[in-house]
Amino acid sequence: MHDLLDDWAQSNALRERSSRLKLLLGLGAITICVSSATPNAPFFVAVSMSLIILILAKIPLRIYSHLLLLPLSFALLSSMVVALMHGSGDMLYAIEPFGLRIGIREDGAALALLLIARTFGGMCSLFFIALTTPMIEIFAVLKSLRIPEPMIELSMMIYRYIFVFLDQAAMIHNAQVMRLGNLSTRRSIDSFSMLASVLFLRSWEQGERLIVAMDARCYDGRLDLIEEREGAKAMEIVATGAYLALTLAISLISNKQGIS
Amino acid sequence: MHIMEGFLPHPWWEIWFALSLPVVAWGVYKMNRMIKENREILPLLAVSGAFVFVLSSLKMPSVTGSCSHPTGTGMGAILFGPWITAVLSAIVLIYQALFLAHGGLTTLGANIFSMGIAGPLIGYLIFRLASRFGLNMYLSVFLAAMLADWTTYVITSLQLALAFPAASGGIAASFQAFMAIFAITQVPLAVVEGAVTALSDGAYVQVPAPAQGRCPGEAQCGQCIRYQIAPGGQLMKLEILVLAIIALFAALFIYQSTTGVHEWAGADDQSERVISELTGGAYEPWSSPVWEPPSGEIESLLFALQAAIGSLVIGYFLGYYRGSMKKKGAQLDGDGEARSDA
Amino acid sequence: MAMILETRGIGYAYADGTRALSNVSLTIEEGRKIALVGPNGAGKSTLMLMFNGILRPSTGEVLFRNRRLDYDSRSLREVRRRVGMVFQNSDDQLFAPTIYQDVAFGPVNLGFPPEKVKRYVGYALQYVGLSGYERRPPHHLSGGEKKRAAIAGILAMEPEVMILDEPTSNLDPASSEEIMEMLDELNLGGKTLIISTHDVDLAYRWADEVVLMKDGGVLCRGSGEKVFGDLELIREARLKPPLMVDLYQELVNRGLAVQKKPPKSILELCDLMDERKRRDELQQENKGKIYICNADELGPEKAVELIRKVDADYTGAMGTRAKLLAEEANLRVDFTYGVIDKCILKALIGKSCLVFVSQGMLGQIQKRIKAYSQESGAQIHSIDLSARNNGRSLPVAHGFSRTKSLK
Repeated sequence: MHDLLDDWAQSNALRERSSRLKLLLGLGAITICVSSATPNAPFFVAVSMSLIILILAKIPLRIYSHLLLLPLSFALLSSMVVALMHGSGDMLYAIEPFGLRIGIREDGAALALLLIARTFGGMCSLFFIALTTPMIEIFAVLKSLRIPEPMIELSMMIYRYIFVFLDQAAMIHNAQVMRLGNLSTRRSIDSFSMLASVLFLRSWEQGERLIVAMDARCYDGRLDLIEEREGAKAMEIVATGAYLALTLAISLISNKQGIS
Repeated sequence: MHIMEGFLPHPWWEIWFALSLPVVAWGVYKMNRMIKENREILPLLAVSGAFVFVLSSLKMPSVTGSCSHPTGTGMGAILFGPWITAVLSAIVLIYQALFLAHGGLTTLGANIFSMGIAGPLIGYLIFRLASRFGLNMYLSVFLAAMLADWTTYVITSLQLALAFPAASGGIAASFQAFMAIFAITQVPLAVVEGAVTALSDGAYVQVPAPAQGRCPGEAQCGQCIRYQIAPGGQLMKLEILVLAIIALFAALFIYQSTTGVHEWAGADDQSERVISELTGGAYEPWSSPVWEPPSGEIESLLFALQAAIGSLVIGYFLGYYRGSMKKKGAQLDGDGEARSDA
Repeated sequence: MAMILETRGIGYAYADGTRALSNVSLTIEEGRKIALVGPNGAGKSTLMLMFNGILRPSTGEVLFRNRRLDYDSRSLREVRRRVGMVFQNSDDQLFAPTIYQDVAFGPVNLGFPPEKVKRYVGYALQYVGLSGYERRPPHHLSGGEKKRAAIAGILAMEPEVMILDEPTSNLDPASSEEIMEMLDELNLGGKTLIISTHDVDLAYRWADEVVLMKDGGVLCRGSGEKVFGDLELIREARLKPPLMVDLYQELVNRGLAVQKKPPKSILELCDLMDERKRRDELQQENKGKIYICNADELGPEKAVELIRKVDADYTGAMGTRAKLLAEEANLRVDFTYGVIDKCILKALIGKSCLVFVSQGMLGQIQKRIKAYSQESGAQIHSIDLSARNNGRSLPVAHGFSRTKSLK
């Protein structure tokens, strides 16, 4: 049942709070992270967001740490690449495979740290949004942001059918595994292609049946399904504002210190 | 290839949004028009979008054993054309960020550009070109999907290189480095996805005739939903020209970066040099610029940006003009291709 | 009774040439419960899609309330508002991200203002027992709940006829019974119901009329006992006779039951067996009592109190809201389907029953018990425990089980 982050969002402890605020908080934090020149603010964001997720939203630690693992390893890898190429100053560490000199300079290490911090901060904020805000609440926010309605309606229907097709994909995959369809790479590729084609056919047929069902309820091209949500409580607005201000302050002060 | 949240610094993430959003907006506009003409397209697009998402969330078998997901954009481009695919990709990318923590929200602009616009565009063009020249259908699909993926990977490397130029060697060196690193996983992945798309496209053949893009004949006109989604029509000379120009520039760029030329000396730089030589350095410029770009890279980027904006504007008007010309002389071609993209 | 739907000599062929229907002429009376029965490929679903104008016959015509169906968009809208369809697979029908939005789809398309939409959706969800599910996404619902949500989506449009394709497929027995009971409730409110099914036992005991189909044509049509009594026909249609019919025939052959109209329920079967006993014997035996109370008026604490006070041998819950009440109050309920019959059977052997009933079915249960007592001669008393103080019924049950539109 909990395949996607959205399922966690449906049952988390912060579900009922204003989605607009949650989005503002998350996106605001990410923006500050990617605009920071020093790692302080991003690391602050990473830690504070993680705490919010674990304590306020009550997402289990086991799950959250598992979720963080993959993006973090990617971040490490990519930062290393950047570090290796960038930078001036003293060589901190070098190796010489095949006669080439590959090393990390002082600046490069600093940049790598900054990148890791920013990515960590960014991903934690993204997780905050993904784990506390169910998609169904976001649609109303999108409408108030004046995103064209046809696109939102398309997104809403896509949302619904993602889950239907996920189940089907899982069933097809199991059917294949049961008959040893994934033992060699060649066989796996074949099986995967069959899965893709069957899934495609089924999704197309689902679409055609959906047209009939919508027609039976007098569908005429408009969906008009997006509903408004009530506003946020004053306390929450203040808290969000305070957090963002604090983060921004940390960022600006650190930037100043970094430059001087 | 998704760029993860937080990785692209200011001002790059905004720049990519500025480049992608107009294209997506255009796609939404086209989609709107299509739905107005035929309301049944909305549910079909919805199931296709969901399909692309689900497909991209599955683990594809990979020779290098790494975690690999298909992009699904190759198939999307072949079925729906580049504009609609841009819209669907935007939505799918948002879901990937929020449901799978793949990619990010500030990096959405960059990811849409690489995976939703550039990749599908190339894939679509390759497919049309290949079909035009009568290439076997499976081969066309394979090439289109694989090249779409490669394009995405190249563009992503470029995006990263622009944001993190190397200390010595600038953007070009950085670009080479990223290309080299990602090649290990992305090149074989693209081949596999190409194969998968080609093999699964056999399924597409099984979908009933109206859905395949062949006109089912006058008796069933109006039942032909799928045909109205997929772009019909002959490959335009314009599209071939665009493809050729892109290929030429790509080749030039790669040549230049491998032979180590870093600065792109333009006519004004050269003339500046000549003038200084001639006047012995005593020449005073008439006026000074209102604003200096902070670095050579930004300057190059702004140059590219204004070119992009210009071509978008011209392209829009060209398309609009052509569309209204078509409307004035509106009649179905022999094989019902009146609904093709401009 | 008026003819609400009619087909005259309709035929239909698919694009690839297969004939789905040939020369089908049917009339459907208003307010009846019809079951279309037949093997796969008989044309049941195709026929159903004709009734609301989704498919257009290649020959013949379809009439709604004696007027031919026009296939322009305005007339089709009218027909689809009045003739609602629930598909076999709920996933085909539930396409919106939340239950509220899905149920609201119909009313919104009918052009209702937002306040009205909200009201209708509220009533529909309450009727099917899904109040509180408004913000849930469909993939978090069980099969039975999804089916109820799909039904709510149709109910919110206030149809006069409801068509359900295989309503009990993929449902567990309890959910099946709940759905069928809900359909009964709707029928009591005046709606015409048409279902298609393979389940001959279901069709036999539930429907007023059965239409047997095969290969795109109607083999036979009439009451359950008429259609299922013809064994040759049943075999030709690749079906088997309902268990009840089979069993009854065997008992008659052994002289254990009188030969009469075949029974539709266990109760009727027992009666036919009892008729062999002497009448006076029957009257002497002590009959149990049946206590009835209105579930819509009670809260969980009151219900528990009532159970303790009455101290009946068995407890039953009839109707969606009654079952919800039982769940809320954590009651152990013995009968959840076929409640009336089971209570009468228990009463016949001297046991007492307490039954919680949804408001809309109160009248029916009392009528049935009285009718049975008169027919069989066995005196069974039903005692009504519902509160008599204000008697104001909840607007939902009152307004919604009739087909008149809500103001």
